[in-house]
Amino acid sequence: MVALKKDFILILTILLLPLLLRSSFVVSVATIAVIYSILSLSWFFMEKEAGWASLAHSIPFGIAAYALAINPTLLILAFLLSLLLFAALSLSGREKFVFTSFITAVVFWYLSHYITLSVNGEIVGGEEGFSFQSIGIWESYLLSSSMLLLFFASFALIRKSGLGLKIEAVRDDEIAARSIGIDAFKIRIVSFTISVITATVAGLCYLLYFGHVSPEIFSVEVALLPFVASLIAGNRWLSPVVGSYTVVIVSRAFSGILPEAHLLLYAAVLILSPKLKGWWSASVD
Amino acid sequence: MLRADRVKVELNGRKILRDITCYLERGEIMLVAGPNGSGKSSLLKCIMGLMEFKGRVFLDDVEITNLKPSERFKMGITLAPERLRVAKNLTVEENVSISGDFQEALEIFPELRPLAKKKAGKLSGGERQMVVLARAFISKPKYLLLDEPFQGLHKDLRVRVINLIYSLSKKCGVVVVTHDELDEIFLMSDKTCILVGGEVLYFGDSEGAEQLIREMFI
Repeated sequence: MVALKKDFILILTILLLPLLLRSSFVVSVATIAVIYSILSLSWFFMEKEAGWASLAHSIPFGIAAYALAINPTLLILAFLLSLLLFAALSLSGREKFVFTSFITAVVFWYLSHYITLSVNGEIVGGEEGFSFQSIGIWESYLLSSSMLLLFFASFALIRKSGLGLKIEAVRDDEIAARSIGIDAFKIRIVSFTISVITATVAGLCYLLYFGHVSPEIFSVEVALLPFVASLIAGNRWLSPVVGSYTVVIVSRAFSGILPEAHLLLYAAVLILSPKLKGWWSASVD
Repeated sequence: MLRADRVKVELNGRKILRDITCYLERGEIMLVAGPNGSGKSSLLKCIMGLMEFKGRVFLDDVEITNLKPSERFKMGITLAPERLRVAKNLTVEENVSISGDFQEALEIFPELRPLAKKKAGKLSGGERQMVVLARAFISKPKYLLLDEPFQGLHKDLRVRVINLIYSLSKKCGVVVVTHDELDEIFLMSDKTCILVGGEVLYFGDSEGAEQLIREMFI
């Protein structure tokens, strides 16, 4: 709990810095980092707490943004679709879940190019995507920062609650947990729900900031981002946030000379992932 | 009464359990004995609902065959599984608290007090077994299924667990699968079920099984 409090204070400091600098450029970069931090945090919850490593968090993230852009009443349906998808994919077991979720994410990316609507006889969507009224840089920053803090605090509370203990018990040993009456499937669905709600909110923040959503939101880069971000910076609850900031800052810093610099970072992290996992586990022990 | 009726299990074409029928009342102890691979642990898993099987299971004349383990637990069946299975990243206190009051567990195993904040994955085999047993004992079961409850325990603790099983059996039915302390458990058991190759070699009052048990195991 002490470590979580420290992490919370560090995140609060990271979030306050751009406000002190009062630069629109810094705030715009920070907003993107915060939105991806929420997405990575939702992934981290599902992986670290529940033990399900997904490579398809781009789906709830993207579907939510699409739903809001097309028709806000679709949001509940979008959330349920993501949840149902994760639940269905989990039936094949933890090991296969990584691969099946990634394949599903790629399929969604492909299919998203065909999402079109006829508005006043004009076809919109497809490669171009959909537009929505942006709420502005500063408002977006405040909204997404508040959401990040809210989810971080909620996860800390969940971890120490009876529900959190059950989620971890099922992750560590499902047979042992079921032997003392824990409904493993129900607990799995609850943890997926928490994670999908978080990713959905990240998707909404994305659309409210950019004012536009296109098939790129389902891209492999977005699907892999939470995994890469969470591996870069350790095995703490702060890690997905620091990792997301690192990816966004590297991407922005080299955008002039090497627009795809973040992909090199992705490749390096993926190649080193077994070693990184080992290091972070050892540092926790 | 807890009753397994014609329970069959087949895994990858191999028959693990063949038409097993056995039962016990509350207030009784049933010893399940048999050589390795005879299906003893599988039988407990079927009763708890952790394994797919054919046949039927009844609890106090209510069929529970299709109920989930969590529903069976609510009805009063608890399993302490073999192989020292606990949540290794949770502390001892957290592991036990999921199932009931940690203070109650400390009354049974005071040895757990200094280990309360230690992660279960860092415990020795015996310490871990105390956590497994404490979780099961404090869940207030009507029927308690114990799979190799003496694994990893030293002699003093084994004696204490034997006494605990005896005192628990005043209130609930206890099924014990064990290789260790077989003679003690057999002496205090009311019923005995001997499995060989997934089949019942003997099921009935323990008095009638004495010769078989002595010849085969003790």
